[in-house]
Amino acid sequence: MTPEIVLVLAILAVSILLFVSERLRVDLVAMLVLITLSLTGLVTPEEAFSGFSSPAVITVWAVYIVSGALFKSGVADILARFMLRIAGNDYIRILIVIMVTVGVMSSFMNNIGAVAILLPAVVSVARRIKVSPSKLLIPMAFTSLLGGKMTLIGTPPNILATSIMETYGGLEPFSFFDFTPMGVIVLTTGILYFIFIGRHLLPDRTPGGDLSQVYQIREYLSEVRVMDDSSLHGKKLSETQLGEEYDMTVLQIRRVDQPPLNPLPDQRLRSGDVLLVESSTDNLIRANEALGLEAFADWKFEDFEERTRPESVLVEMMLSPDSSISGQTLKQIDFRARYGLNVLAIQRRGRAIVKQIADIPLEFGDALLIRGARERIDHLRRDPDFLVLEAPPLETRRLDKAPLAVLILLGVLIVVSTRLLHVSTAMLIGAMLMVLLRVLKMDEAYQAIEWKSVFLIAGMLPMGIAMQTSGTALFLAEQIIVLVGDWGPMAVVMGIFLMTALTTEVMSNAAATVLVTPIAIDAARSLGVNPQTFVMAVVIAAATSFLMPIGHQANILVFGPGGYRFFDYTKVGVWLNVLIFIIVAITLPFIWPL
Amino acid sequence: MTFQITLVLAILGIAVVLFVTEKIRVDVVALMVLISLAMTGLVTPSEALSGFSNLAVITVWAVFILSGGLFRTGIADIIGRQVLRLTGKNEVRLLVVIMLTTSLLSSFMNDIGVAALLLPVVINIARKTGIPPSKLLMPLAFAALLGGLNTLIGTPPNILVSEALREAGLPPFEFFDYTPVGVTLTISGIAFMALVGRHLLPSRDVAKSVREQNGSELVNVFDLQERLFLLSLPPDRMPPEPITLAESRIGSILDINVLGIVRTGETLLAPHPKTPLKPGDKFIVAGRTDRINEFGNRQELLVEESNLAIQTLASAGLEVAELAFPPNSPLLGQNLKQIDFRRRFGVLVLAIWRDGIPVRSNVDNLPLETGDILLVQGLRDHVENLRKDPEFLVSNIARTDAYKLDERLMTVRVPPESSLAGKSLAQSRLSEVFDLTVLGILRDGETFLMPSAEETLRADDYLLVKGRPENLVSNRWLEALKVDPLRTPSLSALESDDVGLVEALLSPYSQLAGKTLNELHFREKYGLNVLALWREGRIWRGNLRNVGLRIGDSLLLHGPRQMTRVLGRERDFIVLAEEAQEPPRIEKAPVAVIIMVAMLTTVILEVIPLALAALIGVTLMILTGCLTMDEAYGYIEWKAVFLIAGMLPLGIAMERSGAALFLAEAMVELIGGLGPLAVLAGLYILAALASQVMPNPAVAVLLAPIALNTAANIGVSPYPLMMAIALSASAAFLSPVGHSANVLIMGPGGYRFSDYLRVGAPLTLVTLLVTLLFLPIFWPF
Repeated sequence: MTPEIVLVLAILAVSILLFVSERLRVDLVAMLVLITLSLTGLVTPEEAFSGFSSPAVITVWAVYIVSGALFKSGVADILARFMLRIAGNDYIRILIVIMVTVGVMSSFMNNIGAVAILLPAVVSVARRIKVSPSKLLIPMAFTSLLGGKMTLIGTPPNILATSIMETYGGLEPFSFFDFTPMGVIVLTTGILYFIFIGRHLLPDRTPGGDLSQVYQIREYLSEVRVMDDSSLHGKKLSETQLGEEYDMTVLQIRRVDQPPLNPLPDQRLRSGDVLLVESSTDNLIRANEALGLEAFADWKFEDFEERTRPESVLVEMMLSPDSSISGQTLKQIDFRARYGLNVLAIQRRGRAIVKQIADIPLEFGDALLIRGARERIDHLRRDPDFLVLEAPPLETRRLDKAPLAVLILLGVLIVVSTRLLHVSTAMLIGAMLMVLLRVLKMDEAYQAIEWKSVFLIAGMLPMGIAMQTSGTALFLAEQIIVLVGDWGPMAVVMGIFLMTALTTEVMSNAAATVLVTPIAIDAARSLGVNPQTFVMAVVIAAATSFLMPIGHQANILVFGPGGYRFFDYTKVGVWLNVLIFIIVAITLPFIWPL
Repeated sequence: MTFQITLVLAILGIAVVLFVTEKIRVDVVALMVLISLAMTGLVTPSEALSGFSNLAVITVWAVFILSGGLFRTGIADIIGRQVLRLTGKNEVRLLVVIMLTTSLLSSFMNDIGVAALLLPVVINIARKTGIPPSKLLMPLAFAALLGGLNTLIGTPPNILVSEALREAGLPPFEFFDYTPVGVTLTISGIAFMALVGRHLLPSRDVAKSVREQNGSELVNVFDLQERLFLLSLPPDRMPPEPITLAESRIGSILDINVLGIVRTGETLLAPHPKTPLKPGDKFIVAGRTDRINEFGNRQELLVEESNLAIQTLASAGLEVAELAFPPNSPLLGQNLKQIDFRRRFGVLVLAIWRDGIPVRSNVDNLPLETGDILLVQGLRDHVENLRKDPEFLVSNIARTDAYKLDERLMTVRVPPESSLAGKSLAQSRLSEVFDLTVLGILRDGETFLMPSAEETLRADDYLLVKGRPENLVSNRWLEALKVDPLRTPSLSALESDDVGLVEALLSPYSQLAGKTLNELHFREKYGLNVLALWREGRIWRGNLRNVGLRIGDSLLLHGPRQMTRVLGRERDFIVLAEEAQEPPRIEKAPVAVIIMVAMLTTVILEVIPLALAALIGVTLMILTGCLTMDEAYGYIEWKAVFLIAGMLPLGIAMERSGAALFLAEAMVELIGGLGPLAVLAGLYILAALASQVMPNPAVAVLLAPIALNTAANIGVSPYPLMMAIALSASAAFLSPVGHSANVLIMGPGGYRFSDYLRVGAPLTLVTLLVTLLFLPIFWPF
């Protein structure tokens, strides 16, 4: 073990710790890795930045653009809608259709995009057939990961592993459909698992889909009357300080012989007004005493819902995967003034948050319960920052460009699968054609690129280089061979599979692929067997982040709307992990002989 | 000239043509260049992509983020405001201070960022001091460009030529290598503007009245006064049943903006659409009076026959059918207007069957719901197409009577005195004004069903329409609206504590360019009325909702101040009022400064390469919370990054194929005999001209290999030539399109194209002379 190896291992360990602790964003950690490697001289500055021009990174962002074009032109919607229409009303049939659809979609576009497109439709289907969305969403998220294994461009790990094979020792890279046999096998495994076993393990969280119950807001809602001697009389709503002082949100104002008023900031209160408020009991009592309000004792949520149904609706909404407002609080974005809607509660990581929601920085994966006028909610559906979980977004799709988008995609696929051009060049041309033929605009193309992944991968690639040049990869490969090599090369393959599967639970699957692929290649070389088998095992294992919601963004996206708890993923996922491990161990040597 | 040289020059030529014609965006052109170089084999695939990891490119985006950090923490803001506030009212002094501050900031920040940051501040100063903004804004933009010349990171061309030197195996420029020449140029530029330039700057007529009528200057700038009216209505002419402002449709019928309602004792400014109207209300409106006058005076249409049978609608080529949607149709939730139903599917919706009753009026604005059935009329072919479309379930009409449509069908005649005669159907606005849908025209005994929107109406045409006879009179009360000739609304009446007029610009970071206000749902989203738009020296007022916005457009908005603050926090808009700016993270300002200084120190001491130092600075800014990772990505101008990354391979190809040498030899042959100074001047002028039609970084990338070869050819030091290119590429003063900082100030300054030429041409001459004079002193040949 040379000092370089120790240094690389130390940096590796620290970065894994940072990934696991989630204190820093993964792309920032990757940048820190890049800087450290370059400062310690483990890689040259040129090598440190080489990730940004690596064909893998270019391919990844070009795929994001192509995928964004499929989204914008409505191709994905059309496919999703068609599939759901033939699904009918039977739970199992719908489950199968959803899994097949998402599997097929995510083999050509990015997984999170496929899930985001289907999510509103699936939630509304679940409501229609009176099944809890939790019975459909985890299967959708998991199969999107498995479906990504079916083609070269399905998910970044496939592209990365292929590129590393090419650059590291000039191995024959995988071609476009080399992934398909194993991909179909694991996807089928996943689908069968959910039909026969998995669906029984899924929790039944949201009976009847009653949102107010899921978000536990009922006990926080009440109606109060402004008494004659109240100090609120004559004040504008913005002057009352109800939010700041009592953490109380006014949702509606009712006045004798007038239609209910929406609580605009300059609305003046009068004595006799009846306010619908959201507040905890303590604060309500405090406010009632201090301000001269009177609570209604036998107030019921149902009555209220019934009475206000035509004007106001309750809907659930999420931040879209590329939302520009994540990290900001509702107050910072002036949500109420901007959209004229009230947020009643936030569902985060299986818990409902009702208190002080205006000051909580929103995170990706949060689901928000919103109440307000129908027409205001339609504005929200047009906003690309949000995903309203009831019907497809109102964003205008360029449907007339859909055939063009499909043609371009097919053209690229033909060029790539016949190896006429390198995959990065072909994808780049495809992305450019999408822009030139106005399927999407260049600005939209930049928006479609998930820079987080791009920077993450570009930052981690130098780590791969450092592992190779310092000999760390070889060192680790030898350790694995020492450990399990006695049982034959297939045991080593499965050992690496297990290692990747564990790594991918705590860090992004792209980062895991970058780190493990060099080790796998070195192990195969030391044993003198086919490295392709090893790399394929790594790639498949990188998709098996089923144990925790944080394993993959698609898991996080369905966390809130499914009403899942943290360990629901483990309960359902662990058996799928085991099953896929066994299936891969059996089938891999037949398709990719050692 | 080898074949390869020809190929490179051909690609270069096409790229230049595409840059000049501006049909395709510059970054897309650059990527096309990259792809064609890779496909023709002029560069290897990895060289083609190498631009993305080029140290110059990394530095460029890292500096964008650092600049964003300074922006976000408000340092530049503090400096700018404090300095400018202390300056007083003297125009020359103000101009000098603005230019000094701007150039200082832009030495370390992105040029366009500095311009965007100081723009609201300068506008405010102009308003306070009464100096026309046009006298201060162009100096602001030019100073931002000049300041970029002061340091290595000031502007991308500086970084690019330095990197080109390094790749040629020469020591690159150091951080302050640009400073001596840059500062000389900046000072001469400021001196020129203060002594000569400011007299060349336009002082628009509108600005004169600004001084006279303080407080309402915005209205003057936009020539709004002549379009403001007070409309009054005799109380007895109010519609009998209470209606709201939205229901009265006064705005859409008369094509005006209602800015306020005056009623006994109070004025409701920017009234909510749901405000109920009361007898005696008067309306403050912006718009043209002709519609109002036109509306009252004539008998527009006469009802001839009502309750026609629905069979009238079916003729040889036409069919009436029912249309249902699958429950997950994408059309649900949108109304027919949004869907553009008639144009997209070629059929007209007559009624909607919903919850067991037919909805016959206002069908265009009703969001479709699950279970809706549409009664449509259209050409047989179009209906046939719908039948084949899996998105729809079409059934032949079975329940004609159920729709009770006959109650809504009638014929009306266009009397000869009607103003509609001679107008096209689209111009007649029958649907907006009377809620009538024209299904057919009977003329000279013939019936045209489904007439096109361009069809011109003639006197004595009979129209087959869907609508109620009452529709023709239900808006009759609006006729009584009279422009109050005595009381033109006082301008101050438009503003109050809660409601105000503001000017907003589309920010250079905006993604909304090209979209119309309608597409943005601007009014619905922000509750602000757009009264006027200022673009390239012209005021646009009619039909603003369908104008595609451009970067630098300036919008005059009226509405609640709270909403203008909301707008100010959007990245897409710069609201030209200080209180509307997003509060910066002031508490992080010292941290950001320390990071910046530390980074500069390591660069100056040459401890680590610039790209790495800049990236470390970026990560530190994010780690310390000066800005978030998402904000960081947002501050990167991807357009510039992709442009440079795409053009760099062309530089490689020029060098590799010998095209650079070829061009350098041509250049030497042309002017080499006149000595190195002539070559320097030639390159400077070439770069200056090229940067008018091409993006500046592209100019630097392409001219750098030529300059290197030229220097080698005539045996002089390449440094003065390389620096000349960088300086010249960034000094784009001649037109607004030369640099985005120039575009940004065009709207608020009210400039025209010629203004840039008048002030910019002498300034370019000055910079050329100063460069020729001083560059060889600091960087001898």
